[in-house]
Amino acid sequence: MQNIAEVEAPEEGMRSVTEILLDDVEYVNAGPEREIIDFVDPAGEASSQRVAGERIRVGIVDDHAMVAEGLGVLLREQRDLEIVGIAATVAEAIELVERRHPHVLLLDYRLPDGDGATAATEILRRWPSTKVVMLSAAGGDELLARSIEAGCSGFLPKDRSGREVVSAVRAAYRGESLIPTSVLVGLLDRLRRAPQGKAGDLTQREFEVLRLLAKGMSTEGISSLLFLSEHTVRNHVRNILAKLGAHSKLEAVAVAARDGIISLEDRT
Amino acid sequence: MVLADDQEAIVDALTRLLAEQPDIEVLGAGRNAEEALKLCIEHEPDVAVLDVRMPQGGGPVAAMEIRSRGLRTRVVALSAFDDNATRDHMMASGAVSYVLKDRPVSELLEAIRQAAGSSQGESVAS
Repeated sequence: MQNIAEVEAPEEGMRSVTEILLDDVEYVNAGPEREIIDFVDPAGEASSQRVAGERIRVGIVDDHAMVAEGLGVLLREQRDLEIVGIAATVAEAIELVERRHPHVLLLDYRLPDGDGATAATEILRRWPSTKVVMLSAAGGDELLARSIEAGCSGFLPKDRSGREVVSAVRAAYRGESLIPTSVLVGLLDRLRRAPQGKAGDLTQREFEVLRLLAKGMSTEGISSLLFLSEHTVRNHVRNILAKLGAHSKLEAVAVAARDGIISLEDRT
Repeated sequence: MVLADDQEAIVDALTRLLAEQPDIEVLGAGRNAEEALKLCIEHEPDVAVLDVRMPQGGGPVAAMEIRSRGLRTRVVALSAFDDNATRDHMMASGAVSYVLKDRPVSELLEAIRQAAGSSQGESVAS
């Protein structure tokens, strides 16, 4: 295994504050002499299964040591939580999950060697039962969308209280998705405003109907040409409008021409 | 001392962590420059740990206000930004030290103790 990070060696005979505060936490980058082999199940499946009454194993990933230590102290006060490791980079996060099998991973979005969404994608591909809660200093919609796409169970802006972080960890462990309402409202708003799909979303039949619309054909004309009922053609038109985010047949044709879904030659 | 950072989880976490130190008393915590200044006026703490980036001007604004009001409070800047411009701005605004969030908590504790020492030393001398 590659040696991913040097641990800052505390002065001789001195224990670092980190060690004092988190003395039962094994650091993933603690070096070979502190090799952690709690679990032998290589896929991590068996060990990350829930067992009634057990403590929730939590991993913390944040490149700001001060924040990671602080979160560790905060979570350790909870009797049902156990901090199993702290990591500062994407590489260390992956190693942490591989070696310590946390039930829940608190993952900072911005890390020195990559972003949280990439890390989450990789972790969830290899250890799908892990629950990832994304922490982000900036609560941007884009980060939220990428986190959800990556399969994260929760998303918390860092301006939330410690209590909310604890709730998010517990909710994620229970298999719930926790996204603050304010964040969700922003996301829904964004989805409403975003163009509803592209050419790739059109079925072959819808594409044919669109081309005929572009030629100026009526619903009746299209239905007789394609041997479809007018009702079916109207359904296709409705779907085309929805997929192109258009409010009329004219707008649908305009959008389709603009986006290159159909060419103007279709009209001739 | 008092503490201000707009990231509440971090304030919660650091407050607990600092409160565990026998020689440190956390008198209050704020979320922006204005709250930080209010706390400093109310408690006139030895040390204020201020995040450099907070709403309403962040650490620099709060630090300048603390200085212009003649409070004895020494400002320790807490920052996620390791660049000279941010550091210089903060130090020019009156901070006595600049601690990065990616450093261990021990560095923050050391900065707080040093700042407290200079604050008390000066107030005795004056």
